[in-house]
Amino acid sequence: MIIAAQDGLFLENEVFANQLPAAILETIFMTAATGIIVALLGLPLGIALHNLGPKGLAPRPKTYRVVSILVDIGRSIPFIVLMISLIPFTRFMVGTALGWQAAVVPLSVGAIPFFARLVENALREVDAGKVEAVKMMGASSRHIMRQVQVREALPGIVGGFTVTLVALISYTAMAGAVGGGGLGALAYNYGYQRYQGDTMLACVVLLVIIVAILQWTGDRMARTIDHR
Amino acid sequence: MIELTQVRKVFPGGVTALDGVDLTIPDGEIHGIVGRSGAGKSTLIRCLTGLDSATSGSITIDGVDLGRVRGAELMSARRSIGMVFQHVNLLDSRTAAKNIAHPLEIAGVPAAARKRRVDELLELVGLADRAESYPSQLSGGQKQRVGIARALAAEPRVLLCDEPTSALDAATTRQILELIRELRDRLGITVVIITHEMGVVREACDAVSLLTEGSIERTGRLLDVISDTSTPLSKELIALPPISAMEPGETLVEVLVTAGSRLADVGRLFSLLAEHGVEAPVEAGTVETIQGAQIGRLHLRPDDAGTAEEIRRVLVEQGVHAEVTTAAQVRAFADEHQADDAEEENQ
Repeated sequence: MIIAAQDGLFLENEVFANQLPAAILETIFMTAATGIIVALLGLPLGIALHNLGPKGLAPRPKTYRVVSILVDIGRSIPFIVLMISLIPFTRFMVGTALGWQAAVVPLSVGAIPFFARLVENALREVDAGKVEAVKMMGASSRHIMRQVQVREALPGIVGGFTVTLVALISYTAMAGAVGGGGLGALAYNYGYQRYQGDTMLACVVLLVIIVAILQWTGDRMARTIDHR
Repeated sequence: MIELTQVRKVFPGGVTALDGVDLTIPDGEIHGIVGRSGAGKSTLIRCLTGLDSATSGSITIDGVDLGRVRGAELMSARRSIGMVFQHVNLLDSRTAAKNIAHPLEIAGVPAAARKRRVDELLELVGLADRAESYPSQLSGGQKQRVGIARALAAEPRVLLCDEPTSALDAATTRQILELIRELRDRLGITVVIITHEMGVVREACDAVSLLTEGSIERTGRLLDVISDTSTPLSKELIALPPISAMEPGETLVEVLVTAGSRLADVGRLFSLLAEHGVEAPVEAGTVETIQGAQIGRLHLRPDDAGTAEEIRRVLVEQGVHAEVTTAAQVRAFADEHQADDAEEENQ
């Protein structure tokens, strides 16, 4: 930005004053809203995956395979394809396929299975002996899931959520390019299509800063709750 | 009281892990269960905790048949058993105090009562000053102390210990075993220790059972089992280094002095032999005092077969167990053992 300012371009470009603040907020809202939905739905899905799986509390091989395949399908569809194919569903849920609110729908659908797998992996790292020890105390499965599995795996789950949020930031940029708004839209519409190098640079730098803040916060949180 | 009657466990796939286990452990006893790996020790402990159910036979703890209870009753039966694990299995996210409080939380004990009990337990295992430490800040021995306190939290009648000291060094092992004996004396609980370390049995147990291929080969009071030379368990409990190579024609006298002999102590044995003029160098020996009785196992290496026979005669007269072993027998025994070990590696 310092370089841009020296060129005399930075303050003169009215895009910065008129559109940049709104774009930053849109990106933040998009990521935050999706993050909340992903946490609320992805965590239970991850817990279910782990416990239906071979090392879980209630192994159901067939159900596990079905859920597992669905999750993998969700993860393997390229985001841009997912977004376009979900347009009817998005219209049904939000009423429109444009704007950051609409982008939250495909973003959530794409990120939930991703996060669920990360949760499943984190839970798998919890020593079976710990689960057995608490089972011996006469604990219910519900108690074991909450107080043992999730609690012991929490540093890993927080780490997984950070990774998910960072991945989401890059998806929001893609969503922005097809009508979702935010920094991605600004970079595409002005930076790319109108050859505004300074706008492009500003968007990229801002995205890097947002990612850095997220990663730093996530790492710190994981470290505070990690007593291993 | 713990009572096992004809307990069998056959895994799907046909492996028989327990093949008719009969065992009675009276109240307040510390009972060691020993056996080689693969003998069925882990399966036995899983059946005792109700984490696994026996295929047939019955397991009764304080009158409750573990095989017949389900759901809430099984959960409350589990609460009457405290379990101590080899790898302790504390939750890393909880402090020592919170780990100990965990079984009480599950049992629905109110917070104030919980706090009182936890303080009491921390005091009992000598960790009153480490209440707020996380497991990662504790040493191996301290972790096991927390594990024992947690196992005792819900005031169980039975403490089940699965290899409680196998991950600890010798000095810490001794402290933990001392703690277990002290707790038994103070609380009157029944303790079952599953272990592969004979030292644990010698130091901590009142009685011992040998599990071999899924059934109890020998069970009894510790001193009785040691004095009984008819099973290999006696030799394993009071062990000597393997007999070194013997030249053909050489002989060895294997001696076991127990509470049943007429010798005042092991030292008297040598003066007795001197009186009869049949001295022999000691090749190896162990002398221990177990529950007040002196137990000694010696390997004597006399010069010739005649002296060996004379030594045997003199000792047997005094109620001491003595056996003459020739070089040929030693070699045959070693060959057999090698075959055993090879077989075990193949498994």
